[in-house]
Amino acid sequence: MIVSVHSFRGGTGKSNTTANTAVLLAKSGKRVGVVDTDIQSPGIHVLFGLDEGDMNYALNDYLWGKCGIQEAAYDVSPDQMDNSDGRIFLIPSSLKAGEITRILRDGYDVGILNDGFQSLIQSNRLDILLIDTHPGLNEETLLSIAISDALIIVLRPDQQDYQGTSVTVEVARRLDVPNMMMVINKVPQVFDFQEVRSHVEKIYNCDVAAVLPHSDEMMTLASAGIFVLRYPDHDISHSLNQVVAKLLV
Amino acid sequence: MSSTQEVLEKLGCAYFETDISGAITAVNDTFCGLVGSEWEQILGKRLVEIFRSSDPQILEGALDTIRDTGAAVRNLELEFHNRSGQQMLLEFSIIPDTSKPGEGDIICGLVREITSRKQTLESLLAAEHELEIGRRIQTSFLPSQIPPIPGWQINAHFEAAREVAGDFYDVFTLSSGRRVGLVMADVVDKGVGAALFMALFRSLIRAFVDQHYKLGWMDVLSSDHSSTQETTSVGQRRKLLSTGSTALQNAIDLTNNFIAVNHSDTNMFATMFVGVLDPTNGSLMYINGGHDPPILLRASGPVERLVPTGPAVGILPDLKFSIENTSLDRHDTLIAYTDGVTDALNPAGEPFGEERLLALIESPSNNAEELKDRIVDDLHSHIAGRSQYDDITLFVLRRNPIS
Repeated sequence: MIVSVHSFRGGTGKSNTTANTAVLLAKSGKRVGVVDTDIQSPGIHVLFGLDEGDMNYALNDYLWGKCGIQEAAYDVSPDQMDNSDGRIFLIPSSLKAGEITRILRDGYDVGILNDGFQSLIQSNRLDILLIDTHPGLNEETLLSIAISDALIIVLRPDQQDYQGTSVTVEVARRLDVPNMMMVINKVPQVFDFQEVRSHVEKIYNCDVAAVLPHSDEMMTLASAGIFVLRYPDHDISHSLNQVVAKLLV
Repeated sequence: MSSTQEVLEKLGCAYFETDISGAITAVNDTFCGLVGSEWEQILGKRLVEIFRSSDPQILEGALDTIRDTGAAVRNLELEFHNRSGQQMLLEFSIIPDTSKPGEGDIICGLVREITSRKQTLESLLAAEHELEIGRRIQTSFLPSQIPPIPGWQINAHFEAAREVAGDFYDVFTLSSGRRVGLVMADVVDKGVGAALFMALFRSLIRAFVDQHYKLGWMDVLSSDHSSTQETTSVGQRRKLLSTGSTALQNAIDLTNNFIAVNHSDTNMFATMFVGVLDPTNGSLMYINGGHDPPILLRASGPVERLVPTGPAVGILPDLKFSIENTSLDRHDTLIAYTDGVTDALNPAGEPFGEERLLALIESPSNNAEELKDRIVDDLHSHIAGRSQYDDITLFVLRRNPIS
């Protein structure tokens, strides 16, 4: 199964959602792949504790034909996992400015990405591949949505996010994405969560998988690690399990 | 006037006689008409005075030769303005006349006006020169060397028609070297125009193949997108979106639109077959824009044709070109050609024909080069020296058998 995690605007907490969902899936015994296709502003590798220095090859190298996709995949499975069957393989994007600008300048054949995904799923025997996308609509996000079995749209209860998300939803509907769900993130504690949920479900006619509160613990963790491992009993962790449940349905 | 001179008059030849010094002693009426003067004004004058030109030495030198050596001077060309101001080119044939010994040595000759004949010759040479330039343009836009493809044999043949035409083939890599692009194309019409468009088509395909734009079917973003547009499924899309498919679709779509929009006045278009080969596994995706279906000969014997998947390229903008997929297993062979092969005529006016081509392909060959040579040799014996009307272009691609 291929799952795209997308938001129309930046700062919604998409990468954190992706990383935490990946860990929860792995804990339930799944072999999970995570690809950072946000080539312009990579970041999810930080959450998994993968340093720039540890990266021999990144997604960029694969796109340029310098390596096979498997060589750019790193086993970032956390130590504390109940079920030893679960694994997480991360394909990071390069942080070197030269690599980033090269892709911005020359572009690349998106078919190479798709072929890479298929190849990785096969070689690493993945149950699920999570694609962490760049915010907004561009070639990669369209490609991801087009080839995904499920789409998670992350947004904040913010007017700009609401407007922008309707664009993404329209695209996804036209492409008839099989399983589409929303995650409303960074919701102020004073909001009525049930109201927020029904409001969003009504606007987009789409299921809301989770409503995640704005959290000081999350802010202080500051992407230094995986929240659900640090705070397994937090509301956020419980809510993210609902996302996992909806994916595995 | 003697009967000979009457004949000359009737033949429209300007005739003159001079004495040994070159002073004119007799002329006929045609001569007077050519020069534009009456014979009273001509007689006694020297030949070089009558035919004033920028280089008086031409005529004088000829007369010297005749006086000194007694040899005739023929085909002497001279530019001349006659009295009415008409510019013309004259040709002189002058001989010493020793037939009347008693009357002293005389020189006589004929003058012919050759202006139009000379112009025709010059324009013929100019036309031939243009054709030569056209042929050189053509050749410069064909691969000087086909890049070797590990695990594959590829051989091509190109023979220009007498009149420049617009066939071309191309082989290049794309998608960061992962794929090989193959082109076989035929620009309609003949002449230097077709050769120029051949250069344009070939360049546009190469340039657009590197453009990384989204696929046409992803134009769900355009607000005028009709809701009746067919949607594809996830599985279909995963298949469509493989390495090289964007490049292939772009190469054709963008080239088609460019030509149709920017050169709609010239009505130039081309039939073309463009394939993208994965050399590691033999999978071949292609678009055939109205071109003669390439022949896919399976190692086990059957023959498949890669039929058109869209119209010719460059007719109207936004026409639909579909990608089809096939694959070449070991020892399978792909033969692509232009109609210059099947339409080639023998001296009796009979075309080479598809059946003959298929028969050549179906009989076993050791390698691609051998098959290519066999086809070319048989074509040449068929044509047997008859003037070739259309370019002959073909390539043979074979996947190596398991060694």
